[in-house]
Formats: sequence, C-alpha cells, structure tokens
Amino acid sequence: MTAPSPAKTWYRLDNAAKIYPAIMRTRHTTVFRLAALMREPVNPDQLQQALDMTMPRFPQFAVRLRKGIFWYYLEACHKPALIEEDVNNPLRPWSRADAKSHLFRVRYGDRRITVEFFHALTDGYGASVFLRTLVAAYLALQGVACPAGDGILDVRDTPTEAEREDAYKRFSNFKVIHRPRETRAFRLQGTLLPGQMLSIICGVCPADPVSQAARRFKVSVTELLVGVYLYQIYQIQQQGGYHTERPVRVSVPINVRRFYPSQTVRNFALYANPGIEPAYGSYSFEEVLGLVHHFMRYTINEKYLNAMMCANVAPEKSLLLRISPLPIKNLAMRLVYTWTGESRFTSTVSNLGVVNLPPEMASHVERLEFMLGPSRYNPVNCAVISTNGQVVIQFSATMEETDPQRAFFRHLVRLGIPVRVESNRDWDEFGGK
Amino acid sequence: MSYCVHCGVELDKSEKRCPLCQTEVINPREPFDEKAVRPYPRRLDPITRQINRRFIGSLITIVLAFPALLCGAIDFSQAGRLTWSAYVIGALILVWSWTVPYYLLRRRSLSGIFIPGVLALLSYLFLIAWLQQDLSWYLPLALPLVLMPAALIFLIIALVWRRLIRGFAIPAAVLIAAGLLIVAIELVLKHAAGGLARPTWSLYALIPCLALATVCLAIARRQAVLDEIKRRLHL
Repeated sequence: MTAPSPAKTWYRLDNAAKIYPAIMRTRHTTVFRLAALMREPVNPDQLQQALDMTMPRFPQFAVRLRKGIFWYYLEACHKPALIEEDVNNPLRPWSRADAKSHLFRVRYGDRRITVEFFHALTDGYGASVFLRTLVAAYLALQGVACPAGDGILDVRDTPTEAEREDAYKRFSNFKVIHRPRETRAFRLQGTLLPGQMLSIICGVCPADPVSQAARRFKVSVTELLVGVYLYQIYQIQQQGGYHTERPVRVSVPINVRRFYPSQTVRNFALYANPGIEPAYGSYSFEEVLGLVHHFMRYTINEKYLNAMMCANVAPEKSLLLRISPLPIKNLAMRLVYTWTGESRFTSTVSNLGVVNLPPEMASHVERLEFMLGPSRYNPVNCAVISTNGQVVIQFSATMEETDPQRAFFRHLVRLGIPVRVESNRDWDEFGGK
Repeated sequence: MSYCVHCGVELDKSEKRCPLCQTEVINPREPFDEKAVRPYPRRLDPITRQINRRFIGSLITIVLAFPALLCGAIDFSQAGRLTWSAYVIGALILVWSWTVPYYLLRRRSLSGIFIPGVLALLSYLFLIAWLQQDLSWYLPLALPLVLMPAALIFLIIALVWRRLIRGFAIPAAVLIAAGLLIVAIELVLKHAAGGLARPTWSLYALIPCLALATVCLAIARRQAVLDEIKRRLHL
C-alpha cells in the first residue's frame, strides 16, 4: 500500500482534464453524473453528514478550478461541500458564480442520491468510487455497515498519493505512434431544446437477456450496445433524408486501469471510435456488429493504447505549447477540438460496465444510473451502467426528436430484451411534440 | 404495467405518453395516474452565462483609450492644440459608445444602448462639420440620413426583441424597411440639392424589395415550408 502523503494545496490538471475547461460551454458542459436509486426516500440531513464524512477521504475532489498564466490548475477549496436538490435539467455547467466552490455537486431527489462531476476532476470510474463510498457512509449513518473494498473506500483511512496521481504521466513513456487520421463524421440534426433543457430517456433492462443476446452474436455487451446504436444511426442517416455519405462513428471511452495498474481516482480513460463508412455500400446489422467487434479488439489492447496515450500526451510536452499563455492555449485547444474532437464521431456510448455493490449495499440500492452531459455538436449521448442484475441505459439529448433513442430501444426489444422506459419529459409542457 | 403499442417497451407509471414515440398510453386496467411519482423532479436549474462582460468592457476601453491618448499627445506636442487627432479621438469615442455600454450596463435595454450610439454618431458628424467650419450640410443631410435608418433599425430590433415579429416575417420587415429607406434617402438628397422632391430611381429598388418581402411573408404563413427550411438550414 502506498504511504499517505501530506495535504496538497494545488494540483496540475491531468492530460485528459486539460481540454475540458477550454471547451466547456452552456451546451457542452463536460459534466457527467452518477446516481444511486435507493429503495427508501433519501434523508437530506444524513446525506449531508455522510458527505462531510466522505470529503476528507477525497482531498483531490475538494478543489476549485483556477487560472494560471500558462495552465488551469486545481486549488484546494476549504468551503464545505453542500448537497442540493435534484433538478429536471441536471448537468449545468460551472458558471463564474460556481467557480469558487467545488467542481462536483451532490444532489438528492425523492429516492435518488446523485453526484455530478466536472470531467476535469475525474472520470466515470473515479466518480463511481466516490458515489459508492458516499452511499456506504450514508447507509452507515442509518445503521447499515457496508464493508470497504471493491470500489468502496473506508472514510477513516488516510488518502494516498496513488489515488491522486496523474496516471497518464506515469504510463506514457513509449514511442509516439500517431493515430490514424479520421474524417468528419455524420452529425445528427434536430430541433434544439430551449437552452436549459435536457431530454433524458432512461431504459432499464434485465442483465441476463442482454448478456445472452451478446453471447448469441459472440460479442461483448458493450460491442452489442454500440453495434445496435451504430446500426440504428446508420438507418436514420439512410432514411432520414440527410443526403450524406459521411461515416457514422460512435465514441466509446475505455477505462484503461485494467491494462495499467493504477489506483488513481482522477481521469484515466482513452477513447475508441468504431464506425462504418456508408459510402462503401449498405450494411446489415450483423456486418456492423462484426466491424465493431473487430475494431474494439484491435484497439483495446495494451500496445495500441500505449500509442494512443503517448499521442495524446505528446502535445502537452511540446515546449512551444507549454510557454504559450493560457488564452492562446484555450483558443488553440478549442480549434483543435472543433477540427479533430467531437466532429470525428456522431455520438458517444460510455459503458461503465458492471459496478459491484456489496450485498449490504445492494439490498438498499435499487440500481445505479450514469448520464453524460450534452455536447455542443452531437445532440444525443448514451451512458450505460450495470448493477444488481440490471443494465441501465440513459440517453441525454439536447434535441427534441427522439428517433435515435426510439430506434435503439426498439431494436433491443426485437432482440428479445425487455426494456422499461422512463423520462424527464413532460409532454404537456413540450406541447405534445 | 403498460407497454407502448408502437415501440414494445414497458412504460413507467408516470408516463402519460411513450417518451420514445409519443403514443398515448391507453390501458383500461391501469389508467395513467396523475399522482404517480415522476422519476425526475420538475424543478429546473437556471443556467447562467459565464462571460465576465465588465472585464471585456474594461478591456475594450483600454484598447481604445491607448491610441486616442497617443494621437492626442503627439498632435498637441506638435501643434500646441488638437487638430487632426480630434478626428481620431472622435472616431474612437464613437466606437466606444457603440460597443462598451453593452458590456458595462447591468440592465441592458435596447434604448439604453442604441440611442446613445446614435447621439454619438450625430455628435461625431457635428464635430467633423465644426472642424471643417462648414455646418451647411449637417442639418439637411447628416441629420435625416442618420435619424431615418436609425429609427427603422430601432423599430425592427424592438419588434424582434419583443417577439412581435419572428421567423420569415423578420426578413420581410427588413426588406420593406430597406425599400422605404431608399425612397426616403432619394427625397432627402433631392431636397438638399434644391430639386423636386419626387421619387424616381428609388422606385426600382422599392418594388423588388416589396416583392421579396411578399414572398417572405407568404413563406412565413406556410408551416411545412418553414419546418423544412429550419430542418435543413438550422445552425
């Protein structure tokens, strides 16, 4: 076990985090959220107590974002983190008024405990560790002891340096091999919702039929879900009158901790963008699934990830970039992101995988939920998480039309997977559209 | 439990319609329950803009003040008074009056930004006339040629701002205003030249403007055409 380290007053942003403050906009919040749907209504007072107990265990999250001359950095924030009520349109970006407080929010709804994280702070795995530790502390206050381990930290332990390391820096020591260039991808279009609205459609499926369907096609669950989504977007492209042959690609974040031994709860993920080229001909579902399967197997291995990580870290090491003032860097990062980032894929499918809960916690938590924030160019994003034998697929969208979500869930139903759907949309308020 | 007859998915009790296809839920055994707990609260989180406008306003002021002071200092050191630099300083003040109030005013209003801007423009033109010691063109030409377009622009922006006109009615209004403005400009020019104030060449501009405005108004009334244009051209 790594030795505890003295409290730090500031942190450098890790490699993945550096881009997020520069590209954050009202319609691209770079915020994501994880929620635990409890079986009983949430007690706000006890949740606040649990948060107060949990925060000392995560000093790397008790920070606020500050501007330096050359880079943004994270500065220790000594204000207490306060819980907030849940809202219909979550994932609000961090405004100037919020800048003096923490880069995460803990919200409570009727039965829901939610954490919203600015992506510069951590990735989905780090957030799931925080949420599970918070829920364990909350249940402890209700007299239910949940053992630490397997993604739950003991709030009485001292934080370690290994948990707050910049893992990209440690592991990107390989020769840089540039990733193949990707062309602009097909972009879904629709009627944008009013500025502050977010359309959330959540589908809950039992895990067994999903795994059986994946086994039937000899692919993993992520590959199945990505394949279905990709195929349905391709169908929308072909039938929707878009008059374009641009490739349809889906960005899939990869948690690389299983390839690199790191205990960090900061960002440590890379991305694979499987896709199809409609210009090459028409595709059947099986063909799309096969392409996704082989692309993922080709991409998600240690050697390719080494190259990808080094290619991402290399610009950060450039002297010219390092000595450029922050406003110039911001401008450059926005331009690079516009040209090579979001425009290279049509949507995102982020699968956090199976998140294990100890039996003591599982009996009090119905399920976990995972949601991505809205993007500036791609109006629909999808996040998946599996707990307690349920696969929760949550679409967050900034467009009114629900064609991709409908096509995706209908395809799952056709594959024999029962889906239960719920949403945040009030159809009377939307004028019945 | 209810299922969507169209999508085949099971629906939460709180769903009045299928969230995927908006098909209404009709289940005689389990009708929609208004009181069912919704999975997400109704409370909305307001989103605040993140731009520090006062800082931008201060920055523009500094950027404009620097050349104004520099020109004034050079001119004064050479001529002992402000000569050519008065044009530069006046122009920079004019730019300032059009840009900075937008960033500095806490409660922005159209009249609070537009009217001082127009007054600054009239003042700058008066300054030019005064420096040239020739005020003869100011009243018959400068004043109406500034006030007429300003009034029309103000009127259109106010109508759009208050959402009294929207969609394709906006280009229609702009075209009508442009046509009328051209006629008015011709009348002013002829009046200033001492000629007969009757429109001639401006009618050739007015008629196409009115024709195009009529097309825009016709499109504005066709929802299907509007939807198609919106779908294909939205930014």
